[in-house]
Amino acid sequence: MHNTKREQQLKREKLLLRYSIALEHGDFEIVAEVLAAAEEDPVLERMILELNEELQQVATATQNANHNNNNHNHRGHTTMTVITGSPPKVIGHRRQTRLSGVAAAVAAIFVMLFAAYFIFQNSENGGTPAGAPQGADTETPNMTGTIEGRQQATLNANQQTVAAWQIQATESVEAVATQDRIQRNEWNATVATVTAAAFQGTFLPTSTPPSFELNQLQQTATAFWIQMTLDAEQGTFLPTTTPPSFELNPNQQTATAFWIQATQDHIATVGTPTPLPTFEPTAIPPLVVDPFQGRLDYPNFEEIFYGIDGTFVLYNPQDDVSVVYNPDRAMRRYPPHSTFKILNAAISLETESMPDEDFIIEWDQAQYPLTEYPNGSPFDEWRQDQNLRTGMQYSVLWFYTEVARLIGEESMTEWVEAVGYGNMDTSAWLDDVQFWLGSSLEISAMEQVNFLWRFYSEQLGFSERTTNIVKDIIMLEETETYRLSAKTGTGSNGLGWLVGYLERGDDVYVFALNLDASGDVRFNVLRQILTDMGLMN
Amino acid sequence: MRKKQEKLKVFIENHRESLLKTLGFYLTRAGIGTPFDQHTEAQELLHEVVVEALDHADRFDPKRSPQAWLLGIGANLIKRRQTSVAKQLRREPLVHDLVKDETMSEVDIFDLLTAVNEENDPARKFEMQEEVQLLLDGVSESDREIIHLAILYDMNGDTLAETLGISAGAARVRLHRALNRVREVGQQTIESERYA
Repeated sequence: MHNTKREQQLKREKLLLRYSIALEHGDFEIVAEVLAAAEEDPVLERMILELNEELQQVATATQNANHNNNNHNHRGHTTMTVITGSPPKVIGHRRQTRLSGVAAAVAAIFVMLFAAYFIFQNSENGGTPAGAPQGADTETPNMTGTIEGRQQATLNANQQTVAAWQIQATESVEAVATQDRIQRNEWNATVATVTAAAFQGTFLPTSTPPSFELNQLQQTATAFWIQMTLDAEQGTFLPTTTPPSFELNPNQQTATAFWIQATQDHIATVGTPTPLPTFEPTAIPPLVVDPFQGRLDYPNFEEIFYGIDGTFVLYNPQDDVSVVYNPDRAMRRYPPHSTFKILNAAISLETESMPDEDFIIEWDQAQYPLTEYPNGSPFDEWRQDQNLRTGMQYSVLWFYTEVARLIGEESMTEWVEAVGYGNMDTSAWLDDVQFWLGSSLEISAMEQVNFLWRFYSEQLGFSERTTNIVKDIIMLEETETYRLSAKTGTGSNGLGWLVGYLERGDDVYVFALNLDASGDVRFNVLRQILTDMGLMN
Repeated sequence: MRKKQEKLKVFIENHRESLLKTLGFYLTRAGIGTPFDQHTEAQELLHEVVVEALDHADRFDPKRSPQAWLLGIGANLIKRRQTSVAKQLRREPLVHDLVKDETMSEVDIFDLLTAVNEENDPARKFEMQEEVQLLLDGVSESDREIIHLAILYDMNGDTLAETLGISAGAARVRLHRALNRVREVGQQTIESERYA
């Protein structure tokens, strides 16, 4: 596995080198050839785009330098300008994005720390907010006076502090980039401590802010935090929403009000540091700072999904936590397509519509002529008799349509509703039975994981026999360290599903992936994620 | 076909600026246009790319990102222009051109360096390591460092970038330049042996 990955990466690096040399020599035959390879390889494509960006920046810098030196040679260079020594230090787009995330986090953390400082000051002053009229803790605080008083005195300082932290964070990230992982873990721990301390009013504002770099999950959590503040200000915040639920004492209420005001003013003064993702506070997946408590690595989802819209959900029942990439899409429902075969097979066995996994249904050529399908796999395999196992292996549509017919509409609907599968809508049966193919039935990636975990852990009411048979027929790969079971699903609109679970010893990790791509891309993405998490090796 | 065209249109609209920038850069590399008329040339090229892409949208696989496909069309169009210019300036190959084909390329250097790690025969591996060391002795410390990290220690672009504290693109540019300098050292060695 490692060797294959290494070979693949070496191949990419070599192609990129050829691309770079070809650009230098203006050899666009090779450039086109490498770009053609990149069409099928999003990672290579990303590498090319990064290289382009860097070369363009260097070229622009060179042009500007030439221009400034009154170089009147206005012909474009046909060969690459070689700059000896270190190249100009340019913060690339990805880094800028990352730093925008850092800026957002710093802004959010700052206002929180400031609020904490405020709380701290309150407690130091016997519960009276600094600068507020005495007795403000015993009655409704005079917020106007308090906020205005501090606003004038602190907002510019806020900006200075934020800028100082940004610089420090940037320098720290660069200086200790190789200790990135350790830093993240330390940062996670610090965030947890600071958050707890802030809400308890015991945080010391003199603590040095940690240097950090946020991963996707942390950025999402931070965005949520900012959104929560804004919602609180607009009166739309739901206190029961996770994270975190809290009841504020008067001092904390004062501090929170100040925090809201400071955030709003900060945003108004320096602009929103980074666009906030659309967030639905009432439908938040379980967000945790470090779901694996340092035991597993975080994949670089942005890199793995580069250029493809998609989502990934992984549930770790051992710790009862989930990792969600692109939560917005993870909660959006899509037709399950062939992933529905898992439930279809289970219902057929449970209702005894199919006696076992080896029971054969003959291919009725008259009813399913399959003439519209091209020759070759998997359609050659479709043109023969099938059982539950082969029908699952080759994802044979006609076979599982017949299985659904044998189950019958009433029984099917009862079971789909009983297990709470997605929107539970089987109404399209009336048209052509296939209600799971881009018609009435829809399910989200979150719901897929929920369904699969309950299926795996026998919480759906299926017998042990049914569960074991279905588990057996969806098993794809077994090595010394893990066993991968999954089912694909492909929509005619380009939607690709890959749902299942990975077993490692006694542990299981349930996942659902959906993205605007099908074919091998799904497996490549899944393998990359699970490998990066240290689960698939 | 129409769906694919729609998807391409949306993508082009959303990525117009970045496509223009890259195509302009390609044109400069190809020696077509000058930095001063590059934007106009790039706009014309982008227009051609769009026409070509929409005409042949049936060949586009919507499951893939259109970026590489569109840039590939651009590269092919540039190649076509280069061919037509070359025809106009047709000449006999120069001796320099013929010699160039026998020289060592950066890809050869890359292959040699990566092969060291994969060699199983200890004697051959030692021999190769010595060859590599000779080549690396001829370049600067910083070139040696990046080659060691990237190829001999198998670091991927991102890890390399993080270690060096620069972007992945910058790290690769540095690596490619270092390989170019190693190639020059190798070339000088070959030539000095040839004329010795």
